[in-house]
Amino acid sequence: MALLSRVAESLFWLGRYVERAENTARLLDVAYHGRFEPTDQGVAGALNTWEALIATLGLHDVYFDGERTASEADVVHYLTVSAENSSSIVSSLSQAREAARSVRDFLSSETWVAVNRMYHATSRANIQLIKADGLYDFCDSIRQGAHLFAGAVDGTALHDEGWHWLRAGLMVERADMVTRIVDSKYHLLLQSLDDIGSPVDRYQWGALLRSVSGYEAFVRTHVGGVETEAVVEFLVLNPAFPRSLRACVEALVEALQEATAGADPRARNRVLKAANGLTNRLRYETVESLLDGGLHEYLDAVQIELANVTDEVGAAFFWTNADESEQIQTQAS
Amino acid sequence: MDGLWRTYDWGTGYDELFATPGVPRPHARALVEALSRLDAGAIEDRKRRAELAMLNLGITFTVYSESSGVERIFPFDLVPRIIDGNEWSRVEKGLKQRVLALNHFLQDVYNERKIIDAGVIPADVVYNSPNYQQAVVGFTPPKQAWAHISGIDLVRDADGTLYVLEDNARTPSGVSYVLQNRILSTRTFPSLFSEVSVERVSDYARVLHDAVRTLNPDGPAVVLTPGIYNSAYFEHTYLAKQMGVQLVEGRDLAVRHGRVLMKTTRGMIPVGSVYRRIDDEFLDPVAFREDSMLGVPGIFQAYRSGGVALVNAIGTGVADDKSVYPYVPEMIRFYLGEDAIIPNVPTYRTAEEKAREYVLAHLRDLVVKPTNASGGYGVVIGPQSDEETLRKTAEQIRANPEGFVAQPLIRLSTCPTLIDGQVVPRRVDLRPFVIYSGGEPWVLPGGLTRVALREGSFIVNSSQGGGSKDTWVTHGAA
Repeated sequence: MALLSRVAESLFWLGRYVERAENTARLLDVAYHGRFEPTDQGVAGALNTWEALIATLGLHDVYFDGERTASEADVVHYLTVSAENSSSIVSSLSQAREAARSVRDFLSSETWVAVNRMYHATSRANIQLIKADGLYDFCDSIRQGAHLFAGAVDGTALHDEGWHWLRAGLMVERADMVTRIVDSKYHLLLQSLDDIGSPVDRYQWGALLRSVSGYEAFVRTHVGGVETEAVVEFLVLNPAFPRSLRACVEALVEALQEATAGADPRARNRVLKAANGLTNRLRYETVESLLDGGLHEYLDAVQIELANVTDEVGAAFFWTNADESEQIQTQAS
Repeated sequence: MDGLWRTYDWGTGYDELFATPGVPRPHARALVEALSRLDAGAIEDRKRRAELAMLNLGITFTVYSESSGVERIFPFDLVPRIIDGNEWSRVEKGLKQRVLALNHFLQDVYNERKIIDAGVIPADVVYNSPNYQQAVVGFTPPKQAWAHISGIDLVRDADGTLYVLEDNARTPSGVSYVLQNRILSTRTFPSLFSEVSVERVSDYARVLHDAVRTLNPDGPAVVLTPGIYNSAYFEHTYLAKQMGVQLVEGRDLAVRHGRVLMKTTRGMIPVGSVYRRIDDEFLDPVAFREDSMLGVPGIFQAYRSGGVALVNAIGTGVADDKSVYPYVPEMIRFYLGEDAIIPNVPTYRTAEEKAREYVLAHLRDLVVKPTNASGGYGVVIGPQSDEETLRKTAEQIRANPEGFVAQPLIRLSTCPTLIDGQVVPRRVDLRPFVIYSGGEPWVLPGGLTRVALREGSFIVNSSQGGGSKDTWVTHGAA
């Protein structure tokens, strides 16, 4: 049975929203626990932890447009429960649930219940509760919920076209978030050669590794310690670490290949061309050339390409951003 | 009688399971005995678990009030309502007869208008109905079938007589609860089903799918939902899943060259028939309400030219209009040459001067209903209303006599219902579902029993604090 475009799109976004909630929780958790660590307030251009977090998530302009300050209380509120922020944890999960409801006849009961539970648990949460329980418990429950969701998706859903769309959405979001996490170093500390290798620098890279659950894997495989080159290589180029940029992008390409198998070649090729361009960029890159060209610029380019893949998918398969009549003729001819 | 039943007393009315206190009706004996072996606490516990499962699974409906929609589960009562197979075969005949007559009526009032020419129904009753759809005048749908799915609400009075309370010929809902309730009750009383022979309800989705497809086999059937905010969204997803068809929203469909196409990741695919759960007015912004965001532009034209079948047909609302209802027995006589097997509740049309005078003088004893509303909204029960309400109702009737009908209060039969660990009498109605696609109508054995969970209440609607029960039809004479 052919999959409705709307259903494919909702599944894609369901994956993205859950992943977004999880990643926001991970970043918050790391920032929260980093409060007591050394900072670089003295360095010109460096941002405080909370402001850097807002910048990492690409929310800098929107955030400072209002009355908000870069204080812990304001930032935590904005990223967890704020309804004004459409990518706060609570907003992401309500959108995830809405997407899930609209396709619930396609989801396994376990998957639906996993989303529904996360939603019920967080929609009741309020900022006082988060303060009282500590942010850690809140973030942890989001992470656990997301794992349960991922387990239900993998273990109980039919691995059909819809499943591949959901995975594609999840991987796009995860890849995008990795670029942001690595790039956050840029916001924390405008690169100056003096700082590289300093204790602050090492601490910050360590925190980034923790935010993607990569610290333990990293130290096990890198006896040399937490050095910039090694961390960047690990987070961006290592194909074996499941949350590295390269691993996410490869998983994304695989999901897109499966999801579009047998589709009109014109639609399919558009999508795969964009996605494969990204894989090639990562597969044949070295960390030296990457750092030489500027890490921030590199990650920026990857983000643009990821957005481009999403646009191509939307235009070719979800009937969004596309001239509908042109689509229909394409399919009919 | 032991345990649960020792204190069961329903007063002077008709009880569905008991003939006299302590003496179950013959067809209910096995159930009553089995229940008396169970401990009320254990049943309550099973009930709580069933309801929690329903919430987590999102088996909910939405209640609309002035503020906002709230998701609730439709409370499920574990004590089933049982209907004797012999009585049911008579009811089944009555329902088939009624649904056939309603379909003849629809075909007639949009085409030859014989029933009006013959003076059986006044022209203004039909043509002044807000549900008479000008757009389908002169149109004949496939197989002359209009109301493919009907829900005919039945109530039983104190003397045991079953009446038709109202017809629902647009998009009656509730059948998903019939199917869910059966699953819940077989889980709760697994052994009972081997003792009592109960007609199965699981054929519904297959019969429905066959009926929908028959109307236009050229392409797959789909279920069209207004979307996740609709109060019956759960039912829409459930039926689509059970039928094995796509659940679509308006924006998933487009009309090209007289066909309705659905947008898929593999291109546009033509659709044969649409089981739409969207009201006529919202179905097509080109033909009906322009501001509808739910509909499919152009679907009406495609329908009229035969490119797609719609289930139910457009314009069926005139058949379940409360001002048309009093004429249904005459309709049956006119089209089928038969007497109505299931009688109507006597109904006063306040549009008629004499009836209006009577109604205004006897408001205290009557039930007043708006002619163009459903779900129990706007119903005023005379014997349970205060002076102020009656005065306002009288005012409304004088201002808009066409807008109301009145009926004597039917003392709805009771059925044992489990409340806080006690079995107590609560009033019930019954909504059987009938499927028709030309040929002989098919009736789902039993239907949805709704129960007024509040003590003394006569209102069983889910939106007004009602719950539901599984409905068992025992095997008949066979």
